[in-house]
Amino acid sequence: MIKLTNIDKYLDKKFQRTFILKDINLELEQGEFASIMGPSGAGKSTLLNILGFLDDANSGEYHFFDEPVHNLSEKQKSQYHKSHIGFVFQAYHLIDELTVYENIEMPLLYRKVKGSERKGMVAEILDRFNMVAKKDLFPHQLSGGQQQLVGVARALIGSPKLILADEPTGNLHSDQAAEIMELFQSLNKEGVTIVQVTHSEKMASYGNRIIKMQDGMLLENFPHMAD
Amino acid sequence: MFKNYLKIAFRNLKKHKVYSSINVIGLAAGLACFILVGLYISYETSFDKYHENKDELYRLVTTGGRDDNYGGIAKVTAPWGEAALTEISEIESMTRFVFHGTSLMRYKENRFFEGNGFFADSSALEMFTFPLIEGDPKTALDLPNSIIIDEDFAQRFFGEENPMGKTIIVSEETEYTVTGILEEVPSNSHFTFDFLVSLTSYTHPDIDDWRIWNQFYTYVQLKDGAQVASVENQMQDILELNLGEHFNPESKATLQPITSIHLTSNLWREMTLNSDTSSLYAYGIVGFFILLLACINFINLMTARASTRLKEVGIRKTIGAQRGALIRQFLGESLIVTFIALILALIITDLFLPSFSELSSSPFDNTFLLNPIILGSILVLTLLIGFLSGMYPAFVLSSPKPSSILKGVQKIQGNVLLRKGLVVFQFAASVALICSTLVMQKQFSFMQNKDLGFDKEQVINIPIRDFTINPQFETIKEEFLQIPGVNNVSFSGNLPGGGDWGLPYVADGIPEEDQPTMRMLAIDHDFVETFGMEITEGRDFSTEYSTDVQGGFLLNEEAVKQLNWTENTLAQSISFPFDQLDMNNKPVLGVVKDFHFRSMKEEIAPIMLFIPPNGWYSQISVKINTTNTEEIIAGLEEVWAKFDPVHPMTATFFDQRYGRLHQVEENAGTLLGYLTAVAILIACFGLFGLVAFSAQQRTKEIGIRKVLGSSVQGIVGLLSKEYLALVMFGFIVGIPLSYYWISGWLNQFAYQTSIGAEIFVFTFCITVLVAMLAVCYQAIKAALLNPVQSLKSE
Repeated sequence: MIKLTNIDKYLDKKFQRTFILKDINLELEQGEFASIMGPSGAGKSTLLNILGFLDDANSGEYHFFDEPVHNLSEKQKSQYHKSHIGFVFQAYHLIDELTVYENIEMPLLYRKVKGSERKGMVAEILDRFNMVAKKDLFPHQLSGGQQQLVGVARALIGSPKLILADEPTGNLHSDQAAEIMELFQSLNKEGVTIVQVTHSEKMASYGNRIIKMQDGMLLENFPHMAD
Repeated sequence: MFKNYLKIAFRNLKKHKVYSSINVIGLAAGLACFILVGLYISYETSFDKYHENKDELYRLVTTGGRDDNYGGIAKVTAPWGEAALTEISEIESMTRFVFHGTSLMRYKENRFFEGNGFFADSSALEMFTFPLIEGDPKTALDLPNSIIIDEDFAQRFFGEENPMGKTIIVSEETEYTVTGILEEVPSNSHFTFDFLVSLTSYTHPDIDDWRIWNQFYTYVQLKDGAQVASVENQMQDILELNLGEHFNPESKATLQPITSIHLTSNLWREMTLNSDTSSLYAYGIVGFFILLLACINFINLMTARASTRLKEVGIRKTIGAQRGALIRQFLGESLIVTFIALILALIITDLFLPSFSELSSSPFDNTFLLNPIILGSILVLTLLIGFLSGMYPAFVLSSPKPSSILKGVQKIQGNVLLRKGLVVFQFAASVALICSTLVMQKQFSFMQNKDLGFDKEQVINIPIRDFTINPQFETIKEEFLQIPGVNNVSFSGNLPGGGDWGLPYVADGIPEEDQPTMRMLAIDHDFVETFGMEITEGRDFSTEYSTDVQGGFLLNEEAVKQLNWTENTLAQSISFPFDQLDMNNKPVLGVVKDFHFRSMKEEIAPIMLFIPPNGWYSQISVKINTTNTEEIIAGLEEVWAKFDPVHPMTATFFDQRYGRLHQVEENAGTLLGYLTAVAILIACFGLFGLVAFSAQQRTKEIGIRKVLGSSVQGIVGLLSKEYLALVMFGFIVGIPLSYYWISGWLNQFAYQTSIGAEIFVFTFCITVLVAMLAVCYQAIKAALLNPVQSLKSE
């Protein structure tokens, strides 16, 4: 599904080149639930952003379903955002001015889904996440865990093939974190590929692969560790 | 999707109430000023354009030369028009207007003084577009003593009766027959009237003289393809032929297109006070600048605010929003806000239209708003503002990488310099406006307080209505003087304040070409004393000398200076070759200290005062020494009724009458004062918003500084310093601009106040004070915030 070959990401400052990612080679199969781990500044989030087309590598090749991402146009990338990739953020990143319902609905608007169909899809996901009663509340009226649920719901509503989560539980206490992780697990069982960045071994243990990073390089791969 | 944009837009407006109100109100105020000014300009430029023949109609006047002769006057003598019509083939038709003068008119028991009318040739109704509701325009003004009246006039006199064919009695001696009913003359005409009387009813002993009785406003209609210059030349030849020895080659017969009279003609004896293009430009520039200030604010605040939307942009991008969609969203939002502002602006316009119209001395109304050009330009302008202010957020915000936005590394810094530049510009413009207003006010108070050379206070003016009472003027004077509180009474033919005449005269011993233009006041023995004028040489007229009536002259100092007699002034004599006067070789009796007999805009010209036969008197001036004017007027009325039982007495106060000379300028000053207030308000709004924004941006920094021990003053200083510096800079830029502009304005006055340093000091204080208020409010608010709150983040 995903194939990274010799990916470099660096910043040029005058006479010095600082590598954020160096020579990354990585393959991810469909149906994997991978956790990227490593100390601060290891390049985890950058890697995730590149995976999600939010950032470009300086060199190397990236194939997404055999499509060369490094050659994709803005427009094609946003097509993939609409249909293939869902994002979940540590800070939830909900739009403050929109209600729960409207936040979840937004991706469908960009996909130009018809009104009636849209209603059905949002209702279904609200139901699944037990949030029907909260649909008219604004983000600031919710707890962090609830906000993150909305974030996940929003990521899911486009039925993506891949969910990219940047420390999705970083701002949550353990009960809420477990809830989100269990949700990810069940999604994974339904066939959604998940890549998350996390500091926590415990959170990583919900997945089936751990990718360790340090100083912009992959240290080791532990496929199927959880099994 | 669109609904989603609308929701976001409105929720954003609601969430940031302060910004939104500043944005919307500021822009609305700016737009409203601009619309008002636009209406004013379109009204002022619309004058006389409603005449169907507007492009062929011209007024025949003389320009250049000396106005004691026949030059530079808006009206000419009767034979000019007749000769032009018969002798110049390019002239299709001609019509003349002569002021009717105020008279008491009566129908049955309804009596009113009517003064707003003309005698006119019957061709007037065919050349001009003055439609008749009833009556035949071809013949209505043919017969002597025919009158056509407008609807209000008809209503006033006849009520429900049909006025056609009815008789109106004028001054209880002449009878006019109503031959037509006029539609009301539009106010955007260089002359208006309530009634027209056939010119065949008008007589004067000198009516056939080519030079003396120049009372005829003369209009001609040119044939297709006629050359104005050729007509003018032919007219000049006709004048040369007929004026003989009085022909003055410097005075040129001139044709003024009627559509340009209102804005460009400023001759002596215009029918009404015309406007000029300079006030048009002035208002236009001020209106434009205010709008510019408001737009700058709007764009500034919108872009400043936009950076708070970065997160939203990032999220939308990760969800799959394309750049186009984001651009549409932001442009749409700013368009919504601009249109809200437009609606508000139209409401404000409607509310302030009456006062604006009054202060700009332009009786326009909101129907001018329906003018497609104005309407169109307002809409285009609104779209443009919306587009410009949405552009920045739309294009800049939609471009960055979503990953960097969401991480918070993206900072909108690029336009900080621009934003600062705009603040400087706003304050420079405000400073210029404040300065101008202050100087204008100073000039008005200077004019009010300047020694006029005579005392305009506490003088009551009464126009004489029935000239048969003139021979009794001594008796009237005596009886008036009996009333307690009356100090002096004077009868005169005209009054200072623009009423002076110009008649040909001969100063003995001075060659004709060296004789200056001389103005005249026809007065009596008590005039100098009544108006508190000062005699600097010789003596005042006095009843002790029986020869003073038609027996001598008083000159002002300027006249003496310009006549420049080599020997003693009091030994000189002047002749007044005028048929109705017997004043040949009469001595100069005294010299009056210069006094402002016209407005302050004009330099004091030579003037001479003489006592005419009492039949010439048309005004009574009563000097009183108490403030209890009601009682005195009641006393005057009682006496008046004994001599003239027909006409009710009308009294005016001379100072008000004189004050009207400067009314236009004063109103303009007041209006500019208001516009200035709006401008500085808008500038402060902008500053307020920007400081609030920067305080918000720096919340975290402020929190950290406070935790580290910074005092509240320290924070306030930190936040205010930067913006107050900009205001100072604006001040420095604005001062020379305003100096340049206002000294130009002052130049129209012959007697000017000085632009002293105190004006600039005062401007500085106002600007800094207001700016401080705007800045410090926000800065203190930010500084007082509990750091625990500002440092708490999600």
